[in-house]
Amino acid sequence: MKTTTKLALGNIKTDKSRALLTGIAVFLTTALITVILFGCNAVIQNNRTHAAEDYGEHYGVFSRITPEQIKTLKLHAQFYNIGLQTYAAEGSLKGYHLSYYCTDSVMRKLSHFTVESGQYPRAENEILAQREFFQVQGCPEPNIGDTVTLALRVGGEGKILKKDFTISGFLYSSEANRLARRYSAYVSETFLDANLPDPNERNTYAGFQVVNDEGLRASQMEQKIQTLAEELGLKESQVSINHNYLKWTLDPDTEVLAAGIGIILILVIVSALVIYNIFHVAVIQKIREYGRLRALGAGRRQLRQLVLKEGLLLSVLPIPAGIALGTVLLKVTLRTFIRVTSPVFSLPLAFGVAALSLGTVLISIQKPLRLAAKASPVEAIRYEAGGREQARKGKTSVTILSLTLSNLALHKKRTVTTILTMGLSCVLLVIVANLVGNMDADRQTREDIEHGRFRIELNCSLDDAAYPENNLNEVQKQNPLNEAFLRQLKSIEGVTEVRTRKQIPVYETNKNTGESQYATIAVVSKEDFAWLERNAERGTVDYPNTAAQDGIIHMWDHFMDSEYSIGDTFSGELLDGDRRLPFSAPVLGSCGHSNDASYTITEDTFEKLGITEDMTGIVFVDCDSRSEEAVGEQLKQLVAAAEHLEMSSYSDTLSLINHYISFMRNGCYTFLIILSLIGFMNMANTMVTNILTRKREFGILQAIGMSSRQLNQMLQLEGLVFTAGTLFISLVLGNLLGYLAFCYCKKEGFVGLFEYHVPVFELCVLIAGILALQIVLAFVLSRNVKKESLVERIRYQE
Amino acid sequence: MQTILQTENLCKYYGKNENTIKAVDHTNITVEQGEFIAVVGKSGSGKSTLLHLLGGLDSPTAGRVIIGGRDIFSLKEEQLAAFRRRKIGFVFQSFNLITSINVWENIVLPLGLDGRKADIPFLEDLLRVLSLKDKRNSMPNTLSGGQQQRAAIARALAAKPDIILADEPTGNLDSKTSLEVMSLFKMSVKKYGQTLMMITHDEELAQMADRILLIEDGRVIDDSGKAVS
Repeated sequence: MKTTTKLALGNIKTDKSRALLTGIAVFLTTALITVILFGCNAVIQNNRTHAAEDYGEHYGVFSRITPEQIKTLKLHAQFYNIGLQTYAAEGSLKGYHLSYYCTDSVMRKLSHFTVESGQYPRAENEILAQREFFQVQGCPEPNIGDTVTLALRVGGEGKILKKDFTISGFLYSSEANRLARRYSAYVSETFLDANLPDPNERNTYAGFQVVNDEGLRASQMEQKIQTLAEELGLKESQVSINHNYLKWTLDPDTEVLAAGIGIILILVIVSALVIYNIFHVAVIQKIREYGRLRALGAGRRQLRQLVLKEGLLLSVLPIPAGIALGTVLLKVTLRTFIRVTSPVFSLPLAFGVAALSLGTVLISIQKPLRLAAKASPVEAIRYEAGGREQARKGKTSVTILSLTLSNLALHKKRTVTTILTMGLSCVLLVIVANLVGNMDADRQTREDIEHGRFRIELNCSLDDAAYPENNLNEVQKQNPLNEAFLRQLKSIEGVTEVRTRKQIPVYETNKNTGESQYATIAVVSKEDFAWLERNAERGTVDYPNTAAQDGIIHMWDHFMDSEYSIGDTFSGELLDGDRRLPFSAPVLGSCGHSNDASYTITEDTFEKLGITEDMTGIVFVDCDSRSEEAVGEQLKQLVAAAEHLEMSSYSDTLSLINHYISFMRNGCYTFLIILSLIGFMNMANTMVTNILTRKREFGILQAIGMSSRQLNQMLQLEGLVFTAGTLFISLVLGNLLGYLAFCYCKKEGFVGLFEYHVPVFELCVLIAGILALQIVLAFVLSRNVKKESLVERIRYQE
Repeated sequence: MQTILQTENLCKYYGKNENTIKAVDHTNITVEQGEFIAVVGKSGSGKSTLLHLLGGLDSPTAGRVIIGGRDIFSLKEEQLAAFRRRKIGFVFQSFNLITSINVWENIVLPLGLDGRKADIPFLEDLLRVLSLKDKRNSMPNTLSGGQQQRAAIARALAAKPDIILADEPTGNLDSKTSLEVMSLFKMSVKKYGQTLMMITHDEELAQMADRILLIEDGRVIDDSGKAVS
């Protein structure tokens, strides 16, 4: 063995605490880099694999496509794997959305259609659906082969028919379907041919894949699909692109990678600072020894090698151990919390992690290495750790506080790197807290139920030729949400508030597209307009302006370009019972979220319209929390007794939203747990280093009469300064980056992200955690320091 | 004269069985108030260990150290720390000044730890005597070895302790500065009526003491070469 290697090993053996600290720092850093790098890889692989399962393999869907267009599509050289799905019928059951589809084999393949048991219907009377579909329609224990009688309207139009079906199989149950009370059933092509024989009357969607010889990226492919759709004579609104599938299959995962690289960069900086700190202090303490080695004839290169070898030897075990821990940690958490099942370990990536960790160690020991090499036999003996300050105006008396502060001030570099290291460890925590803490299920629910705890609305069609009495304008002639009904609501015990909103049916003619269709206009109060203002996308959305100009706000921002521009004039006819009132208004702005109407006007404008019928369309009911259940029951009875009413409750909607949010929140929390574990360990490591390397100084202080209590006080005070600095950096930088992350995710449409607020609760937990860590550490360490006798400490590395 | 310090069968052993090293072995010494005692002996004879035990920096394997009539090892830790800063002044070979505070702050540090106010005229006088007046705001690492040791002596004297324990205070100093430091020691001991126990390798300096204690293999040897027990 070479002499320098022997010396390096000797150094490690004699200075076990430093070896241990460095080892832990390398180990944790490697573990975290492993988690991030392997995690990103697993997520990318998982997304690729599951993109097809989750979103289907079709590049897009053309809706309301005509038989001629289907023919052209099938002959087109650029399209292949064309699958068709036709809307066969609409179920008739109050409070539920039941749909019947006929899906051909290609479409089933494209959409990864899976059957839990049985098979896809073949005969005209066969049907396939979730068990719950049959249960809600009065068949409590459905079995394959059972005959059920179901009420439906073929093609969603015409008279309600009662038909007998034989169950051919079941689909997998889904919690989301149950909460949304929305189910789909599938019927055979024979059913379609028998009941909707004219292909021109069918509402058919076509899923397809597109030839990609050019190796197009997702956005380019989307462009190509739009161009092809135009060639086929399809409107933009008929084209729906499978963005998720295209993104995962055609794009490199730049976002996941960028996030991963960003996090790894912070980690590398943090651990480089920790390792630098440990080595720097060690080299300064040993500078005399290096000087002696120089005096004995060691060259600068040999001294550099000595420190370098120490660094390398200290990485030999922790790096593979870190990779192992990271892999296990990631595997467990991914499986448990976010159900990612892709293989986690990858040998090339493991080498990458090892190289990265080793690189971190090598970078961080560069300066200590040069410092050791610079040691000269003469200077070394005179070298003493301390600042360059010549003199300072001190105080007449010294207290524990002034001693602490002067020590921190003298070792500015050490203080700053410690704070920086700890601060950066926490920055990531704050960023994640900014996302998790801002997920607002309540607000998301309020998108649906704007006020109170219950929402009762008219359940009407707009354009039903077979049952015109079901159309909104007809229902409003004898509006079930009339004054008497409202009085009934108010008289229920526990009800505290009843609010109403008007909805006007309108027959609009778009002068740009020439299309005519039925739609609704919501009449919104000054108070509720604030909600629109918050969700404004284009133009000016405010009550005074809209009222003054008698303007109209478009509620579907994504259709703005194809339908209207700001400043266009909306024109149509308002349906006031049997009357049709011509109406026109300037389009002033658009909103990103719909309030169940296509357009919105102000109450002031409504007053001027001269409408005579009762236009009440939605009622919000609030009650005190104790009576919520009882009020809900009574409302259910009232709604069931009346026709054309539908009810939803805040608590049901909230649990549905929570169901969606929980998936994302679990992912974030998983990440947060791993991160805080390793971040806190890193911080503990920094503080331990800071204290253990100053044993001698503490020894001197105690020799001249500092008591253990005072030493503990000094360490606590020092810790407090570190904590304050850490919090300052992590809160300022973390919240800034967190805000940017929030804005990005909100723009990308993450569930539950609306208004930004500083996540006070999460930050309080973080602050409490850091404070507790610091207090416990200072206490434990001062006890640890006391274990060695004073004499040992005074002699420590002398 | 009054006995200020006394040891009874004081022992400090390291290791076990055959490997036992008797750093201090059944030592009985008595020191009168105002005495200046030089402790001499070869390297590794146990001088420093004895001094550390006398100052309560280390705990004995057996035996007692009685200062001012109290067994210092019967004190609780907090009491011992307070006792040290009030009754004992340490001077180390390697000065051991705190590098983050200036000379004046180093000197008043034991007083600050005790929550006492500094006796400014006394300390000003001390600085003048020790020729540190113009160095009061200097940081320790800007001082020469002699200046640092004088500052360490000032720190040991600041709390007006009864006993000063000095472990080779001139070990790192040249002979001229050593003599200077010694005369300062003698003068302050006389002026403030303190007791001084000083380890030294320097024959010449040892001769300046009232009494010389020779330590050999952890035991005090009398003039005839026999262990005193």
